[in-house]
Amino acid sequence: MRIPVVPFLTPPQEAIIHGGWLLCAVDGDIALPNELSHWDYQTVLRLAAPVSVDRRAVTKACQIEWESGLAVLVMARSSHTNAELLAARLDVPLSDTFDLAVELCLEGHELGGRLTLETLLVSTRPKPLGPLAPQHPGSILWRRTHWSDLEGAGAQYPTDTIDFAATGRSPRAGWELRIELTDPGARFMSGARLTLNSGHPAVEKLLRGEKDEGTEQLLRTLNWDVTRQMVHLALRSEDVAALELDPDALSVAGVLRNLLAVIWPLESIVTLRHWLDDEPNRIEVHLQNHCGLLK
Amino acid sequence: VIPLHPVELDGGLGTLARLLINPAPASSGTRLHVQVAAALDGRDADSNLDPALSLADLRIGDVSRNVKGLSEILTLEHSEPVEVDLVVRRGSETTVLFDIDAERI
Repeated sequence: MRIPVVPFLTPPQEAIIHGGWLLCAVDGDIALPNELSHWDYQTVLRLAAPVSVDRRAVTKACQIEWESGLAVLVMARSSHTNAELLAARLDVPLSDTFDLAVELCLEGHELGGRLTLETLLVSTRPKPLGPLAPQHPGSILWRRTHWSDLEGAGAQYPTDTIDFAATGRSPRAGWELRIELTDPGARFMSGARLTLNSGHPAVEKLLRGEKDEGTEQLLRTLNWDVTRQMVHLALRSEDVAALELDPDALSVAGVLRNLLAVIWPLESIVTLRHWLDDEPNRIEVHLQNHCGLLK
Repeated sequence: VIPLHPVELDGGLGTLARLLINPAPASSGTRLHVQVAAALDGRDADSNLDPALSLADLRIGDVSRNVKGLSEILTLEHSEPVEVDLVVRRGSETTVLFDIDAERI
């Protein structure tokens, strides 16, 4: 058992009440489930949560002056993209208790895998009344973590399953990704297909929804391999290279262009193509890191 | 672990951890392995980061025992739950990572 203890006083749990995240949808709000089966990279997640802060109880327990600066922050982290975003920040008003309506909006292209939302109560301007009080701006007084598994790489494409052995494919292969680029303007969702080998025991276990270290590594490997195949396809395509960045693109070439920009936001396609020819290891190492291939 | 919080010590600051030890069934007691270090990100730790960091006091009921260093093994012979207070001396900015293991004896 490993337990970290911060060097300053923190408030009792009941001083801050998090009402849980709600997923805002057209047909009404629902509690954020632990799995979002219909999520894909084009989904914009709109989330809301009521957070009640008892300023009097917090400042008393922490031995800071009542009018000390407090803020509620929400950090959003995504396991597949390694993105860590400050998704919301609300200053806590100077009131004994206050109910904050925390709202945030998360673009799908920044996310993938497990979405972790960490709600923090932070002292932004602590006015300490004693040596055990938080002394510095940014001291985290309270935190609450929620998570939801966004559908992984497999669900970002039209996906089907088939027993490879029964269809003459290599029986020990795990999956097959096909992306049709003969019509670069066609919709990505109709031009791409990921087929999983349901005849392979490891894939079958994954499809059953079992969660252990093996299936988690398999998911990470699937995500890495699919991303890698798409990157190589994108870098070989003149149609992709000719495109300007358009975050809203839905076409095959547009989605591939955007993928390159997400993975290498600061590099031009010309540079990436040079790397592919002269230093392919540079592409590969970055991809493994970006995709979180190894835990 | 029940409460964990910072405390003032003579001439410095510390952190208190209060452990409630329930004996395992059919055991004569519990052997506790305690290690402390400066926490880096909540899971990793560095035992050399804070030169002031040290175990300072270990209390079982009214009995207090001086301890020092960064680790301690404590053997308790008990058949009822026991509360153990563990006090760590530390620098003013140190988040202490308690690493606690219990084994039946």
